[in-house]
Amino acid sequence: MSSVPDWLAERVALDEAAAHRARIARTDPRELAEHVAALRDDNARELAAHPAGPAAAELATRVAAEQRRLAARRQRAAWRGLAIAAGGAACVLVAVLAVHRGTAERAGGPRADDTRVKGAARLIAYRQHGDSADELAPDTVVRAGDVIQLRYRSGGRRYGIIASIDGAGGVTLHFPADESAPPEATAMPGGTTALPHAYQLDDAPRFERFFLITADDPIDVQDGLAAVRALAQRDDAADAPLELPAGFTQTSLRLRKPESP
Amino acid sequence: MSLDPAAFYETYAPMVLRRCRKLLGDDHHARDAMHDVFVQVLTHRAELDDRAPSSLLFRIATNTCLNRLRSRKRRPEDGDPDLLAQIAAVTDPAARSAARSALDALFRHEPADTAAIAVMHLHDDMTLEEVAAEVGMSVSGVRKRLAKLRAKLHGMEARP
Repeated sequence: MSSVPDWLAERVALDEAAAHRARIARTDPRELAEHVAALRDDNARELAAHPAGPAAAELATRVAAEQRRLAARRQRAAWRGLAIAAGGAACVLVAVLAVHRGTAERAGGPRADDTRVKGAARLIAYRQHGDSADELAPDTVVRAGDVIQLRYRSGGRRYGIIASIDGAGGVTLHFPADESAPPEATAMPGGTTALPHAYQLDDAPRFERFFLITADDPIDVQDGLAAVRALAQRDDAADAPLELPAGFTQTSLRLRKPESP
Repeated sequence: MSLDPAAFYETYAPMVLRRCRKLLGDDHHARDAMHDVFVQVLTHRAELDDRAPSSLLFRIATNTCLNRLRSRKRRPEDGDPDLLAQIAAVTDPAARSAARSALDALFRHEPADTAAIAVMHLHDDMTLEEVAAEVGMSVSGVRKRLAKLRAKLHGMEARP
């Protein structure tokens, strides 16, 4: 086996190893040269099989989408900042309007308490036993090694993410498959649908709690996960709702871990 | 950083792909991860400098792959990646038996780049100085992160 680390050979092959002269001096020059030659051969094979042109075109499309997503995110952040700055004045205004027009709740438009814990959206967990599976009621005791399959219903909302937290503060994203997925990837089908992946519980203590967050518009996965991660760090993570902006719906399903695993 | 995306891809894609393949152990996932790396870099290219892009790409590829490993860790049909288990084994051979189930807890409350630091030092054979240069930290900062990780691993092992 070569004593030349891959990363060093890669940088020599790219002629970007100026910062690593000391390390190069400690390597066998013949081994390094062979390693670099092998990398260059592999480069040629890879680019012959997968030319840069089509890949760059596909990347350009994704980069443009990502830039639009980031611009929209910055715009939302700016609106949130504006909302906070205007908060004090708005409270006074709402109080005055409430006196003159009756209940402010009927004024329409999104409000912070539009976040609903209950609703038609639903998460259902099954524990696999060989070829069969048992539906798990809330607070069923589950154990490390159990394989759980989730099904979900978005309750008529078009977009959603599914994530879970455990008693050790861990967060796992279940839908979409990757946290770098664009907001459009949070589109959910109608009806009740199974996640494409089952997953195995680890030995985190106390509980495993699943969240389905839904909305009528595409959801920024990072923003949704940030809310889940914030809750995961709290002492009341087993019971408290997620803190979500207006317009989101959440539902959760908690499974218990045994007191002594 | 001003660059021609096609030329940039042609120069660096094979290197990024090899890095992703080595960490993920699977060509399909590695190609997906490689594309994610280029999307990240090209999206933010105006904010980057053009000194040794290979170092930047290596670091982003490492983080991207570690995030993917965490995401798929508990999906049995995706296989069971061994890389982080190897890291724990190298960190402390006595912890081998407990390492696999403890790894998630080990990295869970650590800063996102701690796992990348551990991979670079223990898996890629970088010195502390090389890791520090790679992640833009001081050598003592890197040393502290690794020491904390070792102490945490020992603590987890001692837990009944």
